[in-house]
Amino acid sequence: SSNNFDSKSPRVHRKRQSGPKAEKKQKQKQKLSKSDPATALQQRQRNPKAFAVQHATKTAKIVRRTLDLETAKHHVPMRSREDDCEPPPVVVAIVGGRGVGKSTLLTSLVKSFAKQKLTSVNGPVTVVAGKRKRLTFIECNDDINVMIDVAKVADLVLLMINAELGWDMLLFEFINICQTHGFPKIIGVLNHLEAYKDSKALKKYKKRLKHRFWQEVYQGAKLFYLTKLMHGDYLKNEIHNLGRFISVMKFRRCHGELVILTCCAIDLRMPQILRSLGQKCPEMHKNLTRFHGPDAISQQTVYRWMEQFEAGRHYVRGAHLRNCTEVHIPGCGDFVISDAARLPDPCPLPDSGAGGAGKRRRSLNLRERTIYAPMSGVGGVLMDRDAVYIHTGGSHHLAADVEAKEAGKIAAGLDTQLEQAHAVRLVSDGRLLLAGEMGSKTDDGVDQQPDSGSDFEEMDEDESSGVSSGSDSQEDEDEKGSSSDVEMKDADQMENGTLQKTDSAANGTKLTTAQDYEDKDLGVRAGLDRSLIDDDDEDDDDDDPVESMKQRFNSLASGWDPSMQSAAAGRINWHRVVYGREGRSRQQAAEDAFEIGGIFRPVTAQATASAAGDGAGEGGSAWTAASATSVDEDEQEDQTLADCQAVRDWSDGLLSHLISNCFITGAWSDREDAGALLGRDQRARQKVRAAREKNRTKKAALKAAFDAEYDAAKSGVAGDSSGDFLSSWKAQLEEQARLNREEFKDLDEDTRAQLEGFRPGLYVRLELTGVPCELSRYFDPAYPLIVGGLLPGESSTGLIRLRFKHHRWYKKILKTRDPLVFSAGWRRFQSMPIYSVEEHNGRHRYLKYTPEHQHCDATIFGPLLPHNTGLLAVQSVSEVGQDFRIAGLGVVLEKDHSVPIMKKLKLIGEPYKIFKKTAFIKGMFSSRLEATKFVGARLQTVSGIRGMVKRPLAEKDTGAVRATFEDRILLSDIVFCRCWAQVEPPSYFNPVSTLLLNPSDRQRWQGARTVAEIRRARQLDNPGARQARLAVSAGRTQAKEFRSTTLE
Amino acid sequence: MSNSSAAAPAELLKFVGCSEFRSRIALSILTGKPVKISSIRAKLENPGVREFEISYLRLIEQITNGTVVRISETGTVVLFRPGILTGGEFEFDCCAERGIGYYLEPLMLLGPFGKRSLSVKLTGVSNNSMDPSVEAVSYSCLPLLRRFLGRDSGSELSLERRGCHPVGGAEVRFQCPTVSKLKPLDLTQPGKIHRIRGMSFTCKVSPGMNGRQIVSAKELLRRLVPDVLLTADHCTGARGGQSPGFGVTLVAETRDGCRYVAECMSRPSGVAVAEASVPEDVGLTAAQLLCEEIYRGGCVDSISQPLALALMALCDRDASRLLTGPLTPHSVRLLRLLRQFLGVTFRLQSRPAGDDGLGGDKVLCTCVGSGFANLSKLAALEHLDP
Repeated sequence: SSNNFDSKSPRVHRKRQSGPKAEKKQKQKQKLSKSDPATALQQRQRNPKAFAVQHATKTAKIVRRTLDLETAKHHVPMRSREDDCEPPPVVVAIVGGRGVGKSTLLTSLVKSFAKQKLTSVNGPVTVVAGKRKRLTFIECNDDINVMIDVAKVADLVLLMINAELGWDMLLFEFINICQTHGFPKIIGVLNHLEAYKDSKALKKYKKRLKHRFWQEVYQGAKLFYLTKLMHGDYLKNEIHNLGRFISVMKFRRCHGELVILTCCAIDLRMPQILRSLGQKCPEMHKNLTRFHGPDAISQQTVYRWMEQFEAGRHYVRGAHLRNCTEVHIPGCGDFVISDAARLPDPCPLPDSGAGGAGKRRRSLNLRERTIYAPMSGVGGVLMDRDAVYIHTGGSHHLAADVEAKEAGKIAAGLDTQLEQAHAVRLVSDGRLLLAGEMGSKTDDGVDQQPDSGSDFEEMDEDESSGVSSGSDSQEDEDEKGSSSDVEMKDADQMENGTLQKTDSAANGTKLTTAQDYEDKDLGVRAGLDRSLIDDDDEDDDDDDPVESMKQRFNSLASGWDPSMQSAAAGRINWHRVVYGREGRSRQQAAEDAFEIGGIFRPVTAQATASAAGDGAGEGGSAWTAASATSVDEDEQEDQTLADCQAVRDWSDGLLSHLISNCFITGAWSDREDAGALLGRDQRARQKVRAAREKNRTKKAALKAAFDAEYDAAKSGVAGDSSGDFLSSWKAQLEEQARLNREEFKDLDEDTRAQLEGFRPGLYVRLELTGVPCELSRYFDPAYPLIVGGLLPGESSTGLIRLRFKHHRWYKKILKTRDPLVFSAGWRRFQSMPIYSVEEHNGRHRYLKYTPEHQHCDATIFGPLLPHNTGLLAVQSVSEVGQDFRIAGLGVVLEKDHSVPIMKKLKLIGEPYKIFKKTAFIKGMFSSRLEATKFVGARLQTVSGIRGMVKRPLAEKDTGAVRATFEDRILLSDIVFCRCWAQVEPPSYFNPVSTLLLNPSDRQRWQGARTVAEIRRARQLDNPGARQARLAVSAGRTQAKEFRSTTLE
Repeated sequence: MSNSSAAAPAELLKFVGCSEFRSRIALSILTGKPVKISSIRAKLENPGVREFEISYLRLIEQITNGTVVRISETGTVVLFRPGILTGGEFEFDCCAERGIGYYLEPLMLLGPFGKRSLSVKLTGVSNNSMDPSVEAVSYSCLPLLRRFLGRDSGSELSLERRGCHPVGGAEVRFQCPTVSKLKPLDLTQPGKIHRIRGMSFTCKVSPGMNGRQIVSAKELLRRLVPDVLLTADHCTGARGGQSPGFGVTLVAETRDGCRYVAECMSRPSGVAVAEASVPEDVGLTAAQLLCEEIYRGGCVDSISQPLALALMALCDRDASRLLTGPLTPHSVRLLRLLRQFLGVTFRLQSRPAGDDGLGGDKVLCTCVGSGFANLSKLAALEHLDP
């Protein structure tokens, strides 16, 4: 019983729930909670022990846990460059095995978003999903090349699982690819559920699949169920739910890189020439060795056949797109963007237009649910060089008037473009004067509103006529171009598209617009080189048009920037000085290119020189001395400080007023000057006194709020500092984002594109040069054509050291030098890895095979990648089977041009003469020279007697050496010398060019084969095994002669 | 079957003449584009690359791996195929024809992008009248470099021995940490100058020269701002190098951390007595040059202007702003190169001077960086790098 008593827990004290004692306690509790911090502090002071830390370890544990919970909520602040502007469409990839129902899902989703039925799904389909959201759907087939490419661009993946068949190996592969290349969001979609009639079995099955899915993606990942098909479509409300889920989803975009998912590929050259050259090309491809060494530059020239090529048009995402940047097209190669131009958006956001900005509404109307699917047969889509025309009239869902509105929308887009492009500036760095603003901006009592308005309207009319009659305006431009050139000579500060003031003494002030229409990409070739005031041309009501225009100019100039007028005389157009006159050189280049049929382009070495010369000639006074001619420019010695200007004499104090305010002793600007600030304060004080009472209450509230916030932060102990760090980090990013947004806002679109490139979210058209004709000939919209931006330096090659692991699901073991196809960055390429392991002494020891359950190093020759880039390797991109195809995963550690991988080498020799502890060894080295290199090397016999190479023997050039040992060795002993030989990784690198193949051959791409594959194909034996077998069969196994030792 | 354009090295960029030799090579390394420079001083009596340029190429070979340089027989053509920037620790003897400042400028551009942090001991000429002295570089360029690196530690430039023009004998240690990406710059408010500091040096001449230089420089500078402090550095023995000389380096500091540096030094030993420099003149000229530099104004001086522009172009894809004085010829040529190599075009807005006593015309340079990332950086040693 005592035992029983011990095991019993002591009775717990039960608190009084009611009665006087409970009331008393309650009162005390209330008093405590109500008491202000001061009393709490008093209590703390009165009884410090009660508030001291009682259990250090326990407290530390609690603090740690609180911190853990707090920091788990933090994310590394990442600012996507897409936030700065209108977001590009979200890429939603639909992935699944063959026949699982991908196209059906895509059409159903498109139907729910755009209310249109797609007749066939081909290539990307873009729809408007919300006020600020567009979606681009792409379908991913079971080609591993496509899977890799799609995983790199997708923001959201709809992983389709056939419930009848269960998990497909393809899905596991796809998830693995995603894990390597930045994990997009993944939603599972389970269909073909009608096969399960029994609801309980179905429930169990769903649960099992769901848990497997969670294991692969994350706990709680969303899995949608599509129960059945109705009239060939999924159930409407299920699709609606899925669509709703997608359109409210938030994405954390990881693309730091530029990427464009294009939807068409058009050759811009004469097709016959292309074809004839293209037929020659494949032979050239074959004849060229694929080993790219230092002489690979010459190969580059071979591929310069195809000149212009349009890689298509789509939305820029990730980062800014600049002209002349290097890009990579996965499955094709590296190119330079020769021309990029903005096109009107075929699928604009409802809020982006002028009309939608102010309105607030809950849902989209039918007109705003635009769809853009150029390859999928939505209505009639027409593409030409400069625009995309969409006919939505063919669809029975839309009424005829909608069509007209659609057309109007595109035209409106063009109008806004024109408006912006025709905006003028008074001075080169000034703000744009938009046509709309013009009339209202005049001031100073001079009533010019009506005529200034009419003037610009007239201008607009002329322009629009220029647009409609292309050929006319072309001619206009030509003749006007010649006239404007004359004007440009004396106009120092002229820039493209700027309104310019030219001082000519003869006729007072003359205003000239020199709109040099370079903007061929807009399809607008309207030259607008004319003087606003020509004495005969002007049909103004005013009696003296010149005078009125002069006044207007003055008022405008003063209206924009008062400082401009005074300073205009001394300005230097630095852009011109540095970059030369842009328009002209571009025009020249275009002419040059045009001369020889556009195929052969003469090298214009003078192009840069002439640009430089332009600049040199037109520089300011400080510049004329330094760079008189362009020849001198090249021959300038490389000096940081040239004597670019004469030193003024500052010593006599006459000039000191020029810099007097640069010092703290000088005058300060009103914003900084203490006196001015005090004065302002005085005045402000009067006002403040009145408002003070009102503010006091406000302040108290603020203080309370701050206190609460501060206490909350404080309660997290050390968490407060990290919170501050995080918020300051975020603030910094925000500030930079603001600068990025604001800095170029005042410029017109062309200049903006030149300076910062095309913003993400813009719809652009790209032109590339040097693209093989196969790309467009075999263009298949089912294979996504991705244009990915490259960092500067990423197109050069070198050796890359990876931390690499053989995938545990891959069945075969990987052998050194067996070619693998790697996917890294945007690229897919075949290369030959050399496996190695780093030993404790820092040596990289060569491995013949990958270790089974541990990482090793792999060294490959290939294009350089930033460190920590993830890679994956597959042995072949052509095989499709039941087995898991991903052979290994890795991460980039280091890039170099030489990697010291050492292979262990045992040189074997045998003694042929022995004197006491000295022996002559033969067969170890091949020549005397080689033997000389090994003088002093350590030797060992099999029995463990150690020795040393003394010197090579002189009599014969056999490489025999004299060696000494620590003991007498036997004639039967084998002597070996352990050394390390450096292994050179083969400089083999072959981009997987699947997009250049005929679509039917794409799944049969064949790169270099492994040695085993070649042997198998040619039915050759393993030479080592064969020799051994022959030796056995011929009885030539040399029996070692055994000398028995005689015992004495 | 395969288009090899991905495999082929980037296209060869061709240049003519000897100008901007350093920047062309440096940008070639950063972007991985091979460069061919032809007609180097082809029309001169003594054509071809000079010894100091070859010395520069040797320095480049030291900090890179896999670089191939071919120089034609006459020396008028240089073919340069860049390797990987490795950085590391080494010593290098610079050619005495040019100062160490000539070599430091490209090192500051390349240093942050190496595989390992750079620590180099340079020997040669620390002070000459052609290149910025080591002090000028450390006063002017180093704070700027630190702004781009985003941290103050790790980058150092110290002058251990001084050596004047003809023979040299200077010893300089330069250290630079590596980064993955540079921080964008936003410098548009130079602030007011609150003090002027400076260093007067004498090598193998009477220490009295220091006092004379300082007095003459101060005479002018005191009129501008009261806080002027010039220190004297009298170098004797090994610390003074192998040639005699003296000079002053002045730096005007603003409250917002911008610096203007100007300097002047004596003519080299061996000139005629009539042409020999007088310390008073040297001090005064330095002070006048400083006034000129202040007049040019902006947030960087003309020594660090090209470095600032180049590093702005090498930043991440963010906008950078910088207010400078008028662009120097070197900067202008560099801007053209930046456009050729990186595709970065600057927006150059002139800010004309008013009569507000704030110096001459200014230029506001804005650009969006090229998104340059350090491709050669080592992943494994990242945590070891401070």
